[in-house]
Amino acid sequence: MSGKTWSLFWGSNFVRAPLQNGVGRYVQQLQRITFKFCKTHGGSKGMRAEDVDSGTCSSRTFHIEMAREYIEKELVGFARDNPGVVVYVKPRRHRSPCLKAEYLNGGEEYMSTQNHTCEDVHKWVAYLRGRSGYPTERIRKYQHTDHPSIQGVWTPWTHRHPAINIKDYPCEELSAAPQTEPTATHRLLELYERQKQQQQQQQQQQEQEAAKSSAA
Amino acid sequence: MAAWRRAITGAKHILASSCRPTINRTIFSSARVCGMQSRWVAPLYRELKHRHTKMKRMGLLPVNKRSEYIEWNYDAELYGFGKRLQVEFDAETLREALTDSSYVAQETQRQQELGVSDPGLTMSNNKDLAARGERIMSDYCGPYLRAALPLLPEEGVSALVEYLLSEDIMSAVGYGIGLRDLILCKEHPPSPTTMARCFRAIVGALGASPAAQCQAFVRDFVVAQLVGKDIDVIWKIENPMAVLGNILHQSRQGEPESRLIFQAGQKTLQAIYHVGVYSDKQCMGSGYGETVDTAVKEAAHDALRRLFHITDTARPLPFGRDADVLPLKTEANMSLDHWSIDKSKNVIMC
Repeated sequence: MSGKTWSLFWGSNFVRAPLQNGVGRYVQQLQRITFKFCKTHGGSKGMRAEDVDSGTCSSRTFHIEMAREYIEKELVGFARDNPGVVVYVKPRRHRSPCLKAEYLNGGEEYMSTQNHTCEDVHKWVAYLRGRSGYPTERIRKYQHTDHPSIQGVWTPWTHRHPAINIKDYPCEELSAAPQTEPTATHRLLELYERQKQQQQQQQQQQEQEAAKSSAA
Repeated sequence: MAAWRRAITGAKHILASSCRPTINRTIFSSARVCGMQSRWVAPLYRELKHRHTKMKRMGLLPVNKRSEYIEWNYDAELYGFGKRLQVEFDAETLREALTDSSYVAQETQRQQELGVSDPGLTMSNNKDLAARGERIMSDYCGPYLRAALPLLPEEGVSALVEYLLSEDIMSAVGYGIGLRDLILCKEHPPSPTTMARCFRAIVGALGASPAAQCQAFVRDFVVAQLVGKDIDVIWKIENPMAVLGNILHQSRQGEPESRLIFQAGQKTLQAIYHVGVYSDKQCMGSGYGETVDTAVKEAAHDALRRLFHITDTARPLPFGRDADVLPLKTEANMSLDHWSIDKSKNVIMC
């Protein structure tokens, strides 16, 4: 998939938060999550360990059992930690397991957890819990502001002196190329100035010494 | 050669077995009956899916209520609703706040149709709570905005409060906190009017809780909608130059004079003028425009924004801990007719 196709497929957007979330307080956007799974597929409810070991179960049955393992072990803890999320558990006969997450802004996320282990399900649930409900998109930048510049938008006259309004054109001073480096003339002038200062200092020292000797 | 022959014989065998005379082939039976993968089944499903998506996009498909699904527990939803927003609701009051009058009417009619002469429904609708909620919100938003923007004229404050209490904002917040599925009303999806009333009733239901909690809720969900919006877009000043002149007159300063600072591209489509507004040779503000008139208007707007401290660079509205310690201001701000620079120096900025 080329970059262009990728962008067309995913779309792109700026970072945004639904309903100014987090300005006042943070509201978890996941409002309900449904675990759909099969209770009995490939075996009875209490699937015995020796069945797995002896390989009498197919691998598919084993993994569905893994999805149920999450419900047995971790779901109550998840519901306790997230009282704002309504958790539904929906057993369906002979259907593959899936997660359905619904968000406050009306967004929905469906995820198949076929052949997922308990850890996988745990991680995907944590992922769904942190989502905002907006569709997955390429984020153009990791920050966004409505006011990119507090100084105002740049104009041709930003940092220009209004005195140029009353100049008579053509103006040699304004038409001249801007000087960025000192020219040879400038350097010579600087050398001359420096020599002059040195000579003055020498003269002063000589005068001071002469004054001292005369006083002695 | 031998492989070819085997393949042809195999094919003949398959054809013979698939076209057994025992199968009654009609024009309705598909090739799947003969064990063949049809070439039209997948395209048909694809087309149906395409049409379904199209109808969904156009809003022609009936939308099921979430509460019609089997996995729906209203008590759990109400519990989660309060926990999610981090507020404590009284269970009965919350149910009342979510019950629209259309739902009560619908239920009464349904029971009468079923032959119950006296339905005896004890449900009450959310009209009273909505009125109470609106009062709570206007009682908080005004003092909060006056305290946060002390130099904004009273007209601006009331325009902002009116904007916050408008149906658009109320319904947007209502949809945003997930009332769409919880609300009990006749129509689905609930109309913005119903949704706005329901959200007001939710605030009204919070009225029984401590005032600080209720105010924090209003601030975090309603006032927060002002973040990132231009105040002078919500509150439009009709004739900014006249208003500025009036303010300068009140302040005993010179009349506003507009002066052209820069211009470029005259007599072209992309002409631009930069105009400054001066009073007693002091720059009050400057603005850009494609004509001189618009630039003058923009400059006067800019001068007013600077005077009222509502520029882009102004301090943001306080939320969280800053807002908890913000002393609310019940007395009105200076009105636009009496606004003066001398008086504004006496206003304490928090």
